[in-house]
Amino acid sequence: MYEAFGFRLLPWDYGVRNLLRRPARSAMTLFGLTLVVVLVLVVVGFIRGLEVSLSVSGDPQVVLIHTLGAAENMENSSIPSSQAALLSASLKSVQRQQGPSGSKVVCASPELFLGTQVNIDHESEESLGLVRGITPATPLVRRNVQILQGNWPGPGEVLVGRLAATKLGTRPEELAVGKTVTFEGRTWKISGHFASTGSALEAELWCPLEDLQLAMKRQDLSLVAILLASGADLADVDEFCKERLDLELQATAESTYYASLQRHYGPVRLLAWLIVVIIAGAGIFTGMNVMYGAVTGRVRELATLQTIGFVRRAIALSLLQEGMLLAMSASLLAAAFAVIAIQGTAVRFTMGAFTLRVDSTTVLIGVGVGLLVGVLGSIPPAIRAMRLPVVEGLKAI
Amino acid sequence: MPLVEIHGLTKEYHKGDQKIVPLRDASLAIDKGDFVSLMGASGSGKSTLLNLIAGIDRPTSGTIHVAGTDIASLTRTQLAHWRARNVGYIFQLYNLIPVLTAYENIELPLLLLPLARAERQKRVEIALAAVGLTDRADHYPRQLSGGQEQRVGIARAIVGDPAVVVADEPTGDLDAETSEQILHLLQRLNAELGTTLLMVTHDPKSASIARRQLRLDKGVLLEPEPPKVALAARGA
Amino acid sequence: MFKSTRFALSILTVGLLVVGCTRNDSSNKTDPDKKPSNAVASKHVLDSEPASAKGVKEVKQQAKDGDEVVVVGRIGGSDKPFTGRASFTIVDVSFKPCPDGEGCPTPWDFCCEAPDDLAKGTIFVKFVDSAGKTLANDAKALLGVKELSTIVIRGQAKRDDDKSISIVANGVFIKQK
Ligand SMILES: Nc1ncnc2c1ncn2[C@@H]1O[C@H](COP(=O)(O)OP(=O)(O)OP(=O)(O)O)[C@@H](O)[C@H]1O
Ligand SMILES: [Mg+2]
Repeated sequence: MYEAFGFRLLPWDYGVRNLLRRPARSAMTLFGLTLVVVLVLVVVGFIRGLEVSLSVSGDPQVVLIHTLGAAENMENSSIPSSQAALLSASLKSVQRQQGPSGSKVVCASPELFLGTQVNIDHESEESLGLVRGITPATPLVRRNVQILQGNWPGPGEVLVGRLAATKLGTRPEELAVGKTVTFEGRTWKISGHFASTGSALEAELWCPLEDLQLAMKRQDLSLVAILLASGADLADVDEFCKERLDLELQATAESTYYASLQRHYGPVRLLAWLIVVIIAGAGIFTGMNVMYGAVTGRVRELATLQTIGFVRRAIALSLLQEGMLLAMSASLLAAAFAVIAIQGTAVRFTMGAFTLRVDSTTVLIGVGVGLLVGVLGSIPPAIRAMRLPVVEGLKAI
Repeated sequence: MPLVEIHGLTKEYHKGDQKIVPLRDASLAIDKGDFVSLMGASGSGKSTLLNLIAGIDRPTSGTIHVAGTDIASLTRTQLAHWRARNVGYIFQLYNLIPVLTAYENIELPLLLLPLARAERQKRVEIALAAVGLTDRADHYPRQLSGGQEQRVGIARAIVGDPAVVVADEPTGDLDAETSEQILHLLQRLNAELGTTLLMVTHDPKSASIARRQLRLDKGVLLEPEPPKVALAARGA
Repeated sequence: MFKSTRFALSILTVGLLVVGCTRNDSSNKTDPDKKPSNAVASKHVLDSEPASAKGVKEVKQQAKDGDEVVVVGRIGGSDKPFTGRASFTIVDVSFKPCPDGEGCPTPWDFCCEAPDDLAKGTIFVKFVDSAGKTLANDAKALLGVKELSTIVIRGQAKRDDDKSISIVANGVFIKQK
């Protein structure tokens, strides 16, 4: 062990006890570094939450059919209602299921999707909500949707996503089953709550398509989501749309759609990573400051250790160990805090809402940044310590 | 062959175009088992000579042989390893490591030697007993008096059984009575264990306990005739 | 924010240029190796240009179901004119690709043309097997074409009702890669 590096190390205890030498200072540093790592975890959890929310949203078997050129903004898409039937009838690649009465049910979900002002009971302020008009066929296509509480919406009712309250900037109690919300000039009774494995749908309000069309005085649809038959792929639907150019339709894989939204958030993610770098930088300077303090306050001691016969590398390594110990404790504290207090926090965002994700990847990145802060913060002071001349060091006070 | 052999040793510092020569063409031989004191005015180069012999400083010219090794020719790392085996250093301000107990401070130099834990423990206990601090083994430096701290410092210097022990004003920070105890301890170590000692001091009374007394005057090494034995002059 | 978007766009443009260049490069390199071995391609790719080719607009208006047609056009009409199989859309040669800097996603989506006009001048072309199913090979590799290639298609018009028309091709002549 002692010879592991080709030279004898200082006792491990030396580094540990040095941290306890100035308890207040070490505690403050620990707190500061913990804060740094917590912030990093929050930002990385944000990025991961966004990424995962958008990537789990894409069902590989689902294709969205929408107006040409509206691939990135489904709200701009407008398909005449009549075409939904045409699509269901003529698309061979759509999954068909045995219906209850022996008839075949086509797994195609005509939907109307929009962002609109939503008014919550007792609250004077309106906020922007995401509303989707759906039909009984919708769950055949949106296979991950799961009713958590209450029922599928009947006429004049609305089914509320798990994160809709966050998206609307309100408390979940305000969207309890039985309460009402107002949008598009009509009051809707909340029939239940749904989850969708963390996908973007969870931020939405779902009401019956016909009621929504009626309320909005619209006849059209935004899109038709279809479930591909086994063996069929996007190219089948794509060919259909290109063959029927007169319909001016376009097919986009759901996963591609959400991936394109992710591209949309490229600058946000870049900014988030930039914040991570800045926070980490602040942490590095904090650590460096403390470790420089440790070196300058210990010049005579470090010179003594050299006089006794410890090589300079052993001393530098001991300082590095000290910094790493601090950084590691801070990382662990921060990770524990993040897992307990931050994981799952809902965040409101322009395109919807998602939850911060403190998963193993997030923790790994956070702890990695923490340790990096420890290393980078300790190396310059350790180098400084190595450069101290022994004779002059012995004279230091 | 003397244990320490110095020839034409010169140390210079350059500050701008000013040249400072704390040590000029010094030659000296110290026999194994000797106890040598080094006196001189402040700034006369005592610490400089001591540090050169202890291998923590390098001469501008000249040679230093300690126990047969030409230490001026060693690399920095080799020199560190050499010090671990061959030099014990007693400091004026004790320089104990504050986060380590008396026991651990004394054990520190042994960590650099290929010794088993049990062997280390035996040696530390002997050293502690030699300086009379067995009951203070678990005390931290801040829990010890100045004289006790220096005794730990002495134990640390001798525990590895080095070829030479150097002391730079070991009693400079202690009161008269404690100083006397420390000097007495050094004398006993020299007499009973045969430790080769080189001690820098300001005080003629302290110097007089040594077997041999040297003087430095503005960087020049002088060996005054011992006052008691008129014709027993030794030296290079 | 606005600045960063423009910055991203300019990077995208540079990226496209680079991709465009490398793509040219690779096709040049592989061409000599491909020709002798690609028996499927030679079956579809014509050595000489079929005579009296008509424009896409004209064919779309006039051709009846089952008519033998020869039509000239450029591959494009949307950001993804290829389906991944041996089928794609072509547009009338009178349309101009979108110039750089117009903010169009791709030059071959012809997004600077009026959408109605573009719809009237775009037609779907497919190569099918004996069962009438589109060949699974990607047209790009099969025929050695790419977006904005100018080609002459020989085939049969297929009209579902008055509005929808496509071409089942039996040969292609590549006028310009
Ligand atoms: N790093 C240095 N740079 C320049 N001059 C130095 C340096 N170190 C020591 N000196 C000079 O060398 C001379 C001898 O110094 P040294 O420390 O050996 O004296 P000393 O005899 O031990 O004095 P004291 O009894 O006060 O400890 C002094 O004049 C001092 O100013
Ligand atoms: Mg001195």
